[in-house]
Amino acid sequence: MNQQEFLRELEIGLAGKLPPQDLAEVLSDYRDIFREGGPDEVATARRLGSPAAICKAILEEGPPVGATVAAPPSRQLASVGRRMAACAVDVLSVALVVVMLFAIVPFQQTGVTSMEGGSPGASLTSYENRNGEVYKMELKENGKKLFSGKPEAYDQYAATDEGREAVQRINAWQTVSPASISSFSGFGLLTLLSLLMPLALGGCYVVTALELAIFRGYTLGKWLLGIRVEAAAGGAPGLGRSLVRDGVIKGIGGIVSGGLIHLASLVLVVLSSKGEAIHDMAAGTVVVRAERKLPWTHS
Amino acid sequence: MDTQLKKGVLEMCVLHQLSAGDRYGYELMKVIQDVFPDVYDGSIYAILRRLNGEGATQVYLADVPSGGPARKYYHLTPQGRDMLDQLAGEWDQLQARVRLLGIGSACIDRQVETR
Repeated sequence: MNQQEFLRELEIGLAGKLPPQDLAEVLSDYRDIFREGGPDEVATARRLGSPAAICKAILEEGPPVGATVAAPPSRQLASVGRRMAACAVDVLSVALVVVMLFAIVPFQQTGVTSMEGGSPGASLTSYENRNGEVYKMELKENGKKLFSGKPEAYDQYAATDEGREAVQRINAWQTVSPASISSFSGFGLLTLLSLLMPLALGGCYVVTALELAIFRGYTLGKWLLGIRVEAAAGGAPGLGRSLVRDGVIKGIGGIVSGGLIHLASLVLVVLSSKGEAIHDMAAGTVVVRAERKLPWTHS
Repeated sequence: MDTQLKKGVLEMCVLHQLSAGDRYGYELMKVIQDVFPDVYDGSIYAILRRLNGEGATQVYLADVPSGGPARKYYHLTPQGRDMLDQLAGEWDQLQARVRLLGIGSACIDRQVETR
C-alpha cells in the first residue's frame, strides 16, 4: 500500500464520522508522517499499521476535536444609525472638552493698538478686551518698561512729571508720522478658531483612537450605544489598529480629504453587507453589537 | 495490548516527552515506539490528537532547517503540565499499592528475604 492508497482508506474510514475540518487535519498529519518516513512509502505504511485500526483508534479516543483553531464567536454587526450616533457623541464630547479648556484660559487680549515714539524704541500700547474696553496700557522706551498697568493708573502716571515728559516724547513723534500706528484688533479668537477648526476635528479622532486602545474597543459614544470595535478575527483592536482606524484614516484622512472620506465611508457601510467603512478596511476591524459592560471584562 | 491501562500510561508518556521540549508528531511517535514496539502508531496519534483537543498541547508550524514544508510541532500547555503531574502522581500511587500486594520487583525481593 502506498501513501495515496493509505490516505484514501483513512478518508473513507473517517468520512462522515468526523467534522470535515478534523478529517482534513488528520489527513494532513498523516501526509506529514509519510514525508518524515522517507522515500519508501510502502515501508512507512506497513509500519503505521492498517488504516482501519487508525480510524478505530481516532474514533474511540473522541471527543471530536477541532480545538486547534477556536471558532470566532458569532457577532452581530452594529447598525448604521448606532454607528453614526456613537460617532457624533464622540466628536461632540471631545469638542466640548476642548471648548471648555478655551473658556477657562483667559483670552482677554482681542485688540492691541501700538504707537511708536520719536525717541529710540519708545512705544505706547493699549490692550482691548472683546468688548472693546482698554484693560491695559504699556509705555516702553529703549526696551525698558516705563509703565504697565490699568488705564486708570496710566492716567495718574501721565499726570506726574516723569509720565508727562515720556508721553510728550511719543506724541511729538506721532505728529510726524501717524501712519505707523499699527492695529491688530481684527485678529481675534474667532479667526484663530476657524483656522484651527479642521485640525481640531481631526484631533478629536486622535483622542477616540486612544479611547479605543485603552478601553478595548469602546469609546464613550460606542459604549453608550452598545457597540464596540473589534479586530476582524475577534478581540480588542489594540493600539496599532486603533491608531490606523481613527488617527490616520478618520483623523488625517478626514483633514486631507476635507471630510469626503467620512461621506464615502457612510455610503460604503450602507451598501456593503459586511458593514465595512474605509477605516475598517484599512485597520482590519469590524463594529459589532456589544453588551454595555466594563471594557476590561471583554476578551 | 490495547487496554485502558495502557492508554493511560501512553498518555502519560506522551505528556512527559513533551515536558522536555516541543516535538513534531513523527518524532514523538518514534520515541514512544522505540520503548513500546508493540504499540502501533495509530493509537499514539489518536492520543496526541485527543490531548490537543483537550487543550493539553498547542500546535504550531516551524520551518525545517534543511528546507521543505514546515513541521507541525506540539507544545505542552500549563494545562497539559497539570495533567502530567496528576497522571504521574496517580501512577506512583498505583505502583506503590501494587507492590504492597506483592507485585513488582522490590516486593518480590523482600518476600525472598523474609522467607
